[in-house]
Amino acid sequence: MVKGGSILPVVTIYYNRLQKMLGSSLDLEHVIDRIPYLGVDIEERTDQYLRIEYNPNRPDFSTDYGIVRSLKGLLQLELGRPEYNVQKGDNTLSVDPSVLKVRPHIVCLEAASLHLDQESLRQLIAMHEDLHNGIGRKRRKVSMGIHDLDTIKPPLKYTTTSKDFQFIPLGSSRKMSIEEILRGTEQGMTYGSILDGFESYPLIIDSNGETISFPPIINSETTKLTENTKNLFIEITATDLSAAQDVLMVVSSTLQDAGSILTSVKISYPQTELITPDMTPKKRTLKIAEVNRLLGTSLNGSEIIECLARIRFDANAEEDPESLSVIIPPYRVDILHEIDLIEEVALGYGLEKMMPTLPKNDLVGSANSFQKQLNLIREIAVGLGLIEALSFSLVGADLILDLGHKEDELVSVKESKSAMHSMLRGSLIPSLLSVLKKNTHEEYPQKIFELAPIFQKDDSLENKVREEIHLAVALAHTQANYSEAKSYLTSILSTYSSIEFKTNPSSSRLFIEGRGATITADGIEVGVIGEVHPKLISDFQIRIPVAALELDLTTLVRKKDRTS
Amino acid sequence: MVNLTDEAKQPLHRMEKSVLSALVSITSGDVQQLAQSSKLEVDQARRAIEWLRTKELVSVKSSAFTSYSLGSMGKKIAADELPERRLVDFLKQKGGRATMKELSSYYRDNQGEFSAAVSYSQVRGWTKRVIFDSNAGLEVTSYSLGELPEESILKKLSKAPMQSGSMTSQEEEIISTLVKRPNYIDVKDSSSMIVELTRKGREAARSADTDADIDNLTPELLVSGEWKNHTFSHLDVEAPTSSQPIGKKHPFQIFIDEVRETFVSLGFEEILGPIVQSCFWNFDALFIPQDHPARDMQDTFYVSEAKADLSNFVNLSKEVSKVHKDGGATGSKGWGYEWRQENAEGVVLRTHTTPVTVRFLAQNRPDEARVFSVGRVFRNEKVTYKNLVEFHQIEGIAVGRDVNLRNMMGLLGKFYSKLGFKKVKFWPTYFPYTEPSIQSMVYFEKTSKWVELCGMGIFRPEVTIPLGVKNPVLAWGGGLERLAMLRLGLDDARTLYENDLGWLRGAQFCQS
Repeated sequence: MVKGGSILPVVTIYYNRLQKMLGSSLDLEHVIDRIPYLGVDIEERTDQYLRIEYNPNRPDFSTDYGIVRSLKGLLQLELGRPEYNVQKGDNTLSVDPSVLKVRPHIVCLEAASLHLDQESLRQLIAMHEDLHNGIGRKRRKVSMGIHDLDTIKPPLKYTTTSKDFQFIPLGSSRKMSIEEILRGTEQGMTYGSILDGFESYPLIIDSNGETISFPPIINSETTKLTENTKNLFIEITATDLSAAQDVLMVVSSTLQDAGSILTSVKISYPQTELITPDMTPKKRTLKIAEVNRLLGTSLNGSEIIECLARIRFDANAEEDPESLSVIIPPYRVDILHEIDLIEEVALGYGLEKMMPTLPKNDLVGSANSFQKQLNLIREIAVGLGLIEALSFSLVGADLILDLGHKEDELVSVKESKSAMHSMLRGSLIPSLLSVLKKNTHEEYPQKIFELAPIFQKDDSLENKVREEIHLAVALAHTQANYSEAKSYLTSILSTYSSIEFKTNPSSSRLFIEGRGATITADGIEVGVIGEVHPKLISDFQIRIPVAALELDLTTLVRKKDRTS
Repeated sequence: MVNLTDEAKQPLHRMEKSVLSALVSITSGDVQQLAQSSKLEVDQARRAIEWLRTKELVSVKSSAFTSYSLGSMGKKIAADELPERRLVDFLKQKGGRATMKELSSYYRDNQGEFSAAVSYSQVRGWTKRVIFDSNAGLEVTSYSLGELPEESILKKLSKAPMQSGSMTSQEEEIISTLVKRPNYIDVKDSSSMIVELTRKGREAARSADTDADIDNLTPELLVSGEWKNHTFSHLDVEAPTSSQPIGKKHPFQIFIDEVRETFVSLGFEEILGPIVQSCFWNFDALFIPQDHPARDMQDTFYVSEAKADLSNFVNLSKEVSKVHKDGGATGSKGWGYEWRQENAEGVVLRTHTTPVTVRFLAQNRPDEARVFSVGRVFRNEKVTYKNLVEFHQIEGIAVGRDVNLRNMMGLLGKFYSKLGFKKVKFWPTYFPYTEPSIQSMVYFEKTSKWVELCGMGIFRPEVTIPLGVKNPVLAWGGGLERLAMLRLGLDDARTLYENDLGWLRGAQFCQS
């Protein structure tokens, strides 16, 4: 089970805003207690604010407005779907056919009469960032520009231009060409690769020919927001229309909650017309029986409707008494399937009220037979007085090259953040030598083993990598030698099974010439054994003789299965 | 080995050891007593005492005393009766009295006894002199049949001699009267040795009270039976020693085994699967869209120059592609993009054990199952005290017609409780491939802290329907290191992989 991505977005909520939006009579502790039941994690709590980690499927949580909107439902301050009103506007934006090949989709919004204090503005900027990084996939999929509507002269045009086109980009004092912007500004360098391979570049201009924006890279300096800005123009360009609509829904509902009046813009595509934002809620059918089956509840229709109301969804009985019609608020862009509604019912009901029970079906468990064999071998090793080590599979190249492996047999990974973890080990003996290296101050004899997977390239396999479970043993003390290692090998193999084995002289970089061997069983090579070469011992700064062996247990266990 | 002072270590003869050992039990005694309790001949005991005395292991005190035993007459009387009693018996036969003449003829052969009998019978008041028929004679006055003190002493002496110093004063008085009667008592003045352990002797006795003959039992001693003739030197059982090198499983492995047993006890079966997986199984089959940030090289290790062969999963990948695009037949909206096979062909080090689970589902399409997996997973992250590049994950699924979200919480609660965590909290969260999705926390008594552990949920229809699984699949999983750290009392996950031999040799088994 993994979360999406390693870093989750965070929203900051100040208590004073929270209390203002919810009503100051509420007990703050109680409110904070309920917050995790929105499906978010409180990451940090100070005496002034909370930092809340939210999941990327809920972009509507990117501001405190969105958190409060949902929280009001859970706290039963406001139930059911919030109403959103969009006034029909007169302004239009036409889409030039040339842009369809570059960044084909655009949706827009006008938001009027905003009175933004510093924190409200900060919230909107954070939302802007989070939407870019999340649904926007770092602007590749969706990007958004926010402008001062009063600096713009509609109608607008979404078109393309050449790399020589010049305008004053946001934050600059002079005109720059598209090419200059891509190569010479921070935004250009960060996001320019999105436009790699295109000869023409997206551009939004107004009826005066003034540049509004160069999506998805940068806005124009002329339309930038100031403290006097009251009316916003928002353009969202995308490679995916539905993702653009999702972003627009989140932005629209947030701006209305922040106190502004929403007005639509008519988008004229070469073939069609679109009026955005369209905040008509979507409907989905929910089967009552399915809710109860998956949640283990016995809720009736009206109880489910109540649960959904607390999640700020509306639901009505349908003609079919077994089903409900659920009306989804426009900012809930995460509802893909009926199952998502069922989760909403669970959240509205309250997970903490659902009594855990064990499933009715009773099954008999059993240990995995291969794993049992491995454990048997592990027991034998422990019985021989060996200490088990546990090392990483992903190791630095310096550990495994030069130890008899050909580099082209080994598996390496791309762009590791640590040089210590760049290749999958192809054998375990090097890891045991590093264990000995780390422990030269500890009492001798040191007799250790590891039982773990190893990896080798194999083009004949589905994933191009062969995995085997190996056992390696290393003996380090003043008298460690080949015969001792072989006596361990004999004990391990004869205790484990009646497989006949031989040790055939062979040379490798690992062992002293004439004191190393391959281990074969029924003519198949299953391992190596020998006195570790003094050069290696000193490379590892061990200063005491080491004898070692390594066995391919995957093959041995399979052999035993066949013979027994 | 033994830690004794030099003097106490000097070799002792078997007889000396026997005497020392006897002295330990009887504290002190003379030669006879020691011979008896050491089961030696008196001569042997005497010799041993002499040797021990020169070694200053015993001290010998002599003491003077008088010893009384029966004399020749005493022996006779002890076996018969006192002369005065015979006299009275005779007088009674004669009707209570007899003339001296008659008496003299009765004692014709024993004049000595006659005079003693007459004299003692009168002293005791049993007879008196009378004149009858103008003859002098004796007559019985009163007669006691009760045993006289003299008689009981004679009986006692007939069994064993008595010694001055070990008699009551009354006994001594009576003996002195008996001594006056000729040949009744033999009186002998003598002296004897009393043997006692010295301080050194006590020390030596501790090491030798059985036998210091044998330090080590050898096969020869055993086979020959010779050990029976010897005793073993005593060891200082309190002395510290070095420790034995021990074979040991890795503490984390012991914990993994415990988790395995816990799963099995809850009716689960273990499944295994490759660590290196295609993107298809690690991501696509789990409805993780191809542009999802988790699939970035920033987060996931991709194997260099490798392209997975998905030719065995042509039909499945077609289904998966439809689900990603528009939901296919699952009733989902899908992600609304064109799924591309080449993006599924990337080869990655699995970022979770879920691909193993999903492959199991695809292969077996079970209507009912409980399986689990434990194994290594990888994230391309910076290593910190709580984040490792490579770590272990556990994952369990329960498939069944009637399994539900409450069962999910029930199973996990049971799982935690078997591992020793009794208090569990659940709250909602999000995973791309489960819905509803729940996060869990357990309360760790030792630190009084809530710790976030497994995530869980029901696999989305977008995942299960393409795999051909019809019933709900409850799934839960999470990192194992964090649990192990709690149990082993570690605050740095790296310790588990450090292989510090001191720690590995010394680490206690974790307790539940």
